Amino acid sequence: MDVRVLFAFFFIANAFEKTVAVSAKVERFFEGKRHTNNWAVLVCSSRYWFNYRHVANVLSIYRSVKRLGIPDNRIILMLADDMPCNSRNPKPGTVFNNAHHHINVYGDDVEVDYRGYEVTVQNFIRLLTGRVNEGTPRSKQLLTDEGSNILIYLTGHGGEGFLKFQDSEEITSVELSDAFEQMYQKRRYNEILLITETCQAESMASKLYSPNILGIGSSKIGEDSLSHHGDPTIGVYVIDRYTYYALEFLEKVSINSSKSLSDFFSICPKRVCISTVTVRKDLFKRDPKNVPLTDFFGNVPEVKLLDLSSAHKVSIRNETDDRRDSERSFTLYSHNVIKHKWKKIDPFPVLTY
Amino acid sequence: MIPKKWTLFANHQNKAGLLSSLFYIVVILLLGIPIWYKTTTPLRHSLPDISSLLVHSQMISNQIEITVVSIGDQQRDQLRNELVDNWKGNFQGNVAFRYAWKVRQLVKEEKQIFVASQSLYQIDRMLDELESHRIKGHLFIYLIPENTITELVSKSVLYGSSRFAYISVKNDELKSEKSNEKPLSEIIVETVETMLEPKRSSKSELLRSEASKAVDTLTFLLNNEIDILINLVMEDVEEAIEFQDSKRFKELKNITRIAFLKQSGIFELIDAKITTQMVYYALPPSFIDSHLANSEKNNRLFKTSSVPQLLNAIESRIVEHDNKQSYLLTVYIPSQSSNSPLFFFEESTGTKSNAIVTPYRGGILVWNDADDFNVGFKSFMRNLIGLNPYENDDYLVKNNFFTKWELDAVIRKVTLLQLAKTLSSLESIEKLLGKVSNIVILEEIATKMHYAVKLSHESMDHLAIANLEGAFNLSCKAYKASETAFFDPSLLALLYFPDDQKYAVYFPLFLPVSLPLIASIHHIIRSMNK
Amino acid sequence: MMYEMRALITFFAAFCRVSLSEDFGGSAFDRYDERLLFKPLPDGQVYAHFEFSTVFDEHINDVFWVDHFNLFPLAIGKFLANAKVQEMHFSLAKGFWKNSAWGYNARDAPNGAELTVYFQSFQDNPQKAWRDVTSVLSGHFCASLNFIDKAATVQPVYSFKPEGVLQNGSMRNDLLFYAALPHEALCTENLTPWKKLLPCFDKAGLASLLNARHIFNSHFVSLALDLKPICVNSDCYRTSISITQTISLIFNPPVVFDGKKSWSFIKFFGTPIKEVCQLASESTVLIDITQNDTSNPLTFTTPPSGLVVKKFGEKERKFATFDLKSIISEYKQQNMSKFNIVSLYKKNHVYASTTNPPPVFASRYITGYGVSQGGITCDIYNKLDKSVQIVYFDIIPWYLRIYVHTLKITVANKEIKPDTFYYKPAKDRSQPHHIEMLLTLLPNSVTTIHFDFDRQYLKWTEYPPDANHGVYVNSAVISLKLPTAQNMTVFSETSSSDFFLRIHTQSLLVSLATPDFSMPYNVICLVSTVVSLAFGPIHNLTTRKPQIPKSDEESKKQSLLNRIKNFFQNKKSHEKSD
Repeated sequence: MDVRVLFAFFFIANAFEKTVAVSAKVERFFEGKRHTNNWAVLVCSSRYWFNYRHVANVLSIYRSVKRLGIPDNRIILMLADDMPCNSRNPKPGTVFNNAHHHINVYGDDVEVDYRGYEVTVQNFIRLLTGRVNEGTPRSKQLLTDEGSNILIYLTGHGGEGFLKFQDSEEITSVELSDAFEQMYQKRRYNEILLITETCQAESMASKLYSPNILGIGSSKIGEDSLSHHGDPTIGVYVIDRYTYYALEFLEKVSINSSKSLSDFFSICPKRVCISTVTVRKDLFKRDPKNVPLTDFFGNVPEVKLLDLSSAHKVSIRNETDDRRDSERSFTLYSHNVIKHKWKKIDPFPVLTY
Repeated sequence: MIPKKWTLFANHQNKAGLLSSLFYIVVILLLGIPIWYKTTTPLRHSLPDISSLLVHSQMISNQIEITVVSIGDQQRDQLRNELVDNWKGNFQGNVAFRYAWKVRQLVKEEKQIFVASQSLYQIDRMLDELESHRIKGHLFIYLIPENTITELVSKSVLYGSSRFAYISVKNDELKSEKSNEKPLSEIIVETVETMLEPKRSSKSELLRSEASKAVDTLTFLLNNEIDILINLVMEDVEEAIEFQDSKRFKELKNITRIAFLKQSGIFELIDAKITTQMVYYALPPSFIDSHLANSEKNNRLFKTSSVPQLLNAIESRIVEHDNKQSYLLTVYIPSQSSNSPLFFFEESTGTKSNAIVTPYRGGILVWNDADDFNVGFKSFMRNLIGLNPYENDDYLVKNNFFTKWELDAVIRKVTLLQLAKTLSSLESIEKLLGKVSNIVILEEIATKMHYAVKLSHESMDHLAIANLEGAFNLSCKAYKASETAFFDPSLLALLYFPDDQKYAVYFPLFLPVSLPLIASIHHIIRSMNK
Repeated sequence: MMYEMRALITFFAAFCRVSLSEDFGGSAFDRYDERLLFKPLPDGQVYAHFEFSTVFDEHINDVFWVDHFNLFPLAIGKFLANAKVQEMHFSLAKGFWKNSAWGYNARDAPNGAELTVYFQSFQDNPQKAWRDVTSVLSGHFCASLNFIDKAATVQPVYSFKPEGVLQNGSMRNDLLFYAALPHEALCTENLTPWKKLLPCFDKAGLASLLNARHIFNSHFVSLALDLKPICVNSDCYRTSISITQTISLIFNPPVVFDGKKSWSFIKFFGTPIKEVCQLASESTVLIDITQNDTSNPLTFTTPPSGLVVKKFGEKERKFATFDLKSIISEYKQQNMSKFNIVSLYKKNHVYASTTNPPPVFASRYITGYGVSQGGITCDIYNKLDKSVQIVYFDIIPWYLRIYVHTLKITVANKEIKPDTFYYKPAKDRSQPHHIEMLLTLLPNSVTTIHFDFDRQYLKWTEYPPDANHGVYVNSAVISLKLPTAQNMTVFSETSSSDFFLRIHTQSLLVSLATPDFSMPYNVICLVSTVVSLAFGPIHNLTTRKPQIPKSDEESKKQSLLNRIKNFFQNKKSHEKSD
C-alpha cells in the first residue's frame, strides 16, 4: 500500500466534529443539526415621532426574546430614533404596546446597540455579513457560527422589494438575500427566521435563495400592513396589528412551551390583521409543525454536569525561575528604580509672555 | 445659396464625413464602453489558486516520529520489521497519520537516568529534561522489562507526563506481559493512537448523551487567544468583603496565576489571560432558595433546569468587557457560616455535581469544600481545550493540568482545523464572487489571500516532515490572514447597485447619442456594399 | 450661591482622603463612597446630585498587570490598560443646565455627550488609541460615540487640562483629546450600563434610587464618569486611580393641595431606600438648609443625623446630613426596612422669579437669517466687582466656514482684544474649527464674542437622514477661576486660593441648505440630454455635406414636411397677392 495515497480530508473527531473542510460535505453538514445558540437581530428602521409604533413593534419582540432567555449580548437591537426619551413622550423612559399602558416594552434593563443615525442599510448589511469596520465593539457585532439560529425582525415602511431606512435610503430584497448568502457561505448560521412587519412584507423574503431560511411577512405583495390603535396621550398610533397579536401570543409562551412555529403562523388571521400574513417555507428544511417556537424566540442552553468526583488535584511546583514575575517587576512602575513625583497642574493656563 | 438638403457621405464624395463618422464610432467604442464597464463592475483583483490548496489538503499526511526504546539488551529486529512493515500509518479515521518508526536501545544519557533513578516518576521527569526528548509531536515508547519498576506491575501501559509512554514487556518475548493474545506491536500502535487522539470518556459528562460539540471553545483555540474571566459571586455580602484576605482567595490566585499560567504549558497552545472580579449583589436574596429541588439532607440541590435564569442574572449584572475572546467562569461561594453546600441537580437522571458547563456561556463552579476550586478549575480548563475533564487511571502523573502529549494532540487538531477553516474561507470568497455581483476585491485583500494560500501549503509541508511546531505557527498565520480577508469591510465597498439602475444612469446619455451613430454605421455599411 | 456646592463636594472628597491616609497609612485597599446632595433652588425646584466614588489602589501605569478587580469595575480597568488612558471625563446629558437660574452644577455637562481623554506618556499612538477609546465606550454605554471622528476631535491647548496628578507635573498636549456630540440622546440604555459599574449596582444603597422612569422625568439629567490618578500620600511617588460617577438632576416638585412644594424620596425616585450598600465606607445624604434662616424653612420627618456648617467665602452654609449606614442599621433593629426622607416646607410656595444668578455665566446663540450665511454670538456676563480671567473654547464644524476677520469681542460697544488667541482652521471632512482665547472680563460687564460664518454645501450622502432638522454645533466651554473663594481652606489640595470652574453654553442648532434628495437622477437625465442635444448637431455638421438638389424631379420627391411648408408658403403668397 502506498502510504502517500491518503484518504478524505480530515473531519476532526469528537470535540471538533462540527468543522468541515471539504465543500462537498457542506450540504450534508447543514442537515438536521440542532442549533446550539440563539441570536436575534431586531431592527426598527423608521425615524420621527409619528413612527412610534415601529419602535413599539421592535421592542415588543425584544421583550419577548429576552424573557425567553436570549441574553442581551446576543440581541442586536437597532432603533432609528429615540422614542422612549423623546421630548414628546409624556412618560419618559417608557414605550407601551397599547393605549392602556399595560406593558412597558422598553423595560428597565435595555441595551440598544445601534441607535439614531447609526441605523443605516450599510451598518445592517455589515452586521449580517460580519464585515464591520475596524474597532467595532463586540456588542455591535453578530458573532454567530454554524450552530446559531437567528431571528431577524425588520419593521419600518416598505414597498414591493424594499424597506426604507430612516426615510432616506432603502434596503432591497436582493441586497438582503445576497447578505444571507454571504452568511451561508461563511457558515454564520444554522437557521434563520426572517419576520418583516412592513407594507408588502412578503416581497422582502421573495428573493431569498440560501437554504434554511423561513420568511414571514405581515402582508402580501399589494397589501398594506396596518396599525392597531392610537393612543390619545401620545397622539400617534401605538403599535402595528401583526406585532400586537404576536406579542399577545408570545406573552403566553414560556421557555418550556411546546408551541411550534406553525402555531406562530396563525397568530394573526386576516380578520384581525386585515392584511394577509405570508410564510415562505420552501428554503426551510424542517417541518414547521415540529419546530418549537423557542428554537428562534428563546434560548435553552445545554447544561452539562461536570463530574469532578474522580478528578485529581493540581499541585503547584515551586519554580525559582519566574520569568513572568520578573518581567512584571521590570515594567511595573511602582518597582521602578527611577521614581517620579506626581503633581497636579493648574487647570487654568498660565501665560508666559 | 442655402442648401436644400444634407446628405451623408454618399459615393465617397464626402471623405471627411466618412472619416469623422468613423472617428466618433471609434471614440465611443474605445472610451464609452470601457467607462461604462469600469463604472458598473466592481474592482476585483485576481484570486489565488484555491483548487491546488484543496488538492493538497486532500493529501495531507501527518508524519509522526515514534521512537521505540527497548531497555533490555535484546535486539528488537523482529519488532522493528513488524512495525515498519505492518503499521505504516492510520488512515481510517478523520486524520491520516503516517508513522516513522525508530526502534533502538537506550542511548547513553537515557541509560544514566534509568540507572540513577529510583522511581518511574523520577525517570519521567528526568527524561523530559533531555533536549532530544522535547520535540513537539515526537513520541517515545519505552519497553520496560517486567517487574523492574514498581509502578508498572499492575498495568501494562502507563502514559507519562511528557511525550513518553511506558509498556511493560516480558524479558524473553516480543509479547507484552499481560495480554498474551495481542502482539506487542499492536499494543504499541494502540498506545500511539491514544496519544495522538486522546479519547473523551463519556462517563464524565453525565448529562445528555450527544454531549457538547464544544464549538464555542473552538473560536478561542483558532484565534490562539483566550481571556478567562472568573466572576466571584458570594452568597453572603459580609463574607464577600473579607474574601480578599481569605485563604481561599490566596489559593485561587495560586492555582490560576502560578499553576495554570506558568506551569501548565498552556502557552504552547494559546495565549491565556486570567482576570478575576468580585461580583456583588448579583442575585436577588432568595434566588437560590427559590430554585431548589427537594433537598437532600445537609445539601442544597439547585435544579439544572433553572441554570439559564442563574446565567442570565449573572450576565446581566456584569459589564461586558469588550473582548471577543473572553470565557466566563462563575465561581459561586455559598455562605460558610449560615448555609449548607450547594450542588447542581439533574432531576431526570438524579445526578448531582458542583460544576456545570454550558456551551457559549462558560461554566459555573460552586466552591463548597476547600479543594473544589483546584479540582474544578483543572477540569474546566481541560474541558475547554477539548480534553477529558480528568485523567484516566493509566496516567502516570495526575497532578498536572495537561500532559505534554495531550497538548501536542490538541495543537495538531488546531493546526488541521485552522487549515480547514482557511480553505473554507477562501473557497467561500471564490464562490461568492460568482453569486454576488457587487463584491469588491482590493489588491490588499487579494494579497492576503495569496499569503494565506502560501502559508497553508507550507504548513502542510511541515506536517509531512513531522515539524508540528512549524506547521502550527504557519497555520495560525494562514488562518488569521484568511479570516481578515473574508471579513474585511472593503469587500462591501460597493453597496448593492441593481442592474436596471446601472442602465438607467447611462440610458439618457447613450440612447440619444447612439441614434446618429447608428445612422452613420448604417450608411458606412451601405457605402461599403456599393 | 450654587458654585459653593462644588466646593462642598470637593471638600468631602478631600476630607475622606485625609482620614483614609491617616488611619491606614496609605496601605493597599480600595474604597467606595456614595453621597447624595439636595439643594432646594430659589424657584422651588430641587437639585439632586449623586456622587459615587471608588478609589482603586493601583498605579495608573500598572493597571495592565492587575488581574483581580474588587470594587473597581473590571471593564473600565481593562479599558484603561488597553488604551493606556491616564485620565478620562465622560458625560451624557439631556437638557440645558440653566446657569443663570440654577447656579453652577457640581459637575457641569453639555447637552449630549462630551469626552475628554488624556493618555499615559507610554502611549505612542494616541490618535489610534483615541479611536479605540471612542469605539469601546460606544459599546459600553450604548451611545453613538463612534461618530467621534477626526472631524469632531480637537486637541485643546488652554482648556481641559488634566485634573488628576501628572508624572513630574508635566503635561503633553498631543496626549489630550476632546470631542463632544451635542446630538447624542440619553435614555435608559445609557443609564443601565453606567449603573452596572457601581459595586452595589442598583440593588442597594443610594444607587437604588436611580429608577429610569423617574430620573428621565426630570427637567435636567446628566450622568458623568470621571477617571483620574490621585496621590496616595503627600509625597506622591505612588498614585491610585479614582473613578467618580455622578448624576445631576433637577426636579420640580408639584405644589400640592396645601400650597406647599414638599418632596420626598418616593416622590422623586418612586422608591425609598431599603438596603444600605455594605461596600460603601460612607453613605450620606446632605441637604442644604441654609435658606431656613432667610426664607421658607425646610423640615424633615426623619431627624437628620448631623448638621454641618461650612464657611464659603463670606457666607456660611448649613447642611443637614443623614448617615445611611447608621440610620438603616437602627431601622433594622426596629424591624423597619424602608428609609424615606420627606421634607416639608413651613410656608406656602410663592411664585416669583427669585433667581439668584451666579457671578459668571454665558449665553450663546445664532444670528442672521437664511441658509447661506450666519453668525454666532456669545454673551458672557460678569456680575462681580472684580475682573475675571476666562478661557473661551469653541469648536465649530467644518461645514460652517467661519471668518476670523469678523471676530469681534466687545464690551459695552467697545472692542477689546483677547489676552491670547489660538485658532486652528478647519479642513474639510477631517478637522473642525478650533478657537481658544484668554479673555479678561471687566467688572460688572457683558462681554460679547461674535463671528460670522458661511454654511457649506455637503455632499449628497453626507446629510443626516433628517437633514431638514439642521445640524448641531457644540456648546462653547468657558473655564475660569473665581476669585471669591479667597478664604476657603477646603481647597488645600489644589494649593490655590482660587476656585476653578468650567461652564458650558447652549449647543446650537443650525439649519443647512438641503438639496432635493431625489435630484441626482434628475441631474443625470438633464445633463445627458444636454450633452446629446449638443452632440446631434455637431455630429451632423462634421459628417454631412450640404448638397444642392440636382433636378426638379428630386424637388418633387419632397418630404411631407416640406410639402406642408410649401403649401403654407404658397398660401401666404396667395394671400399677399390678394
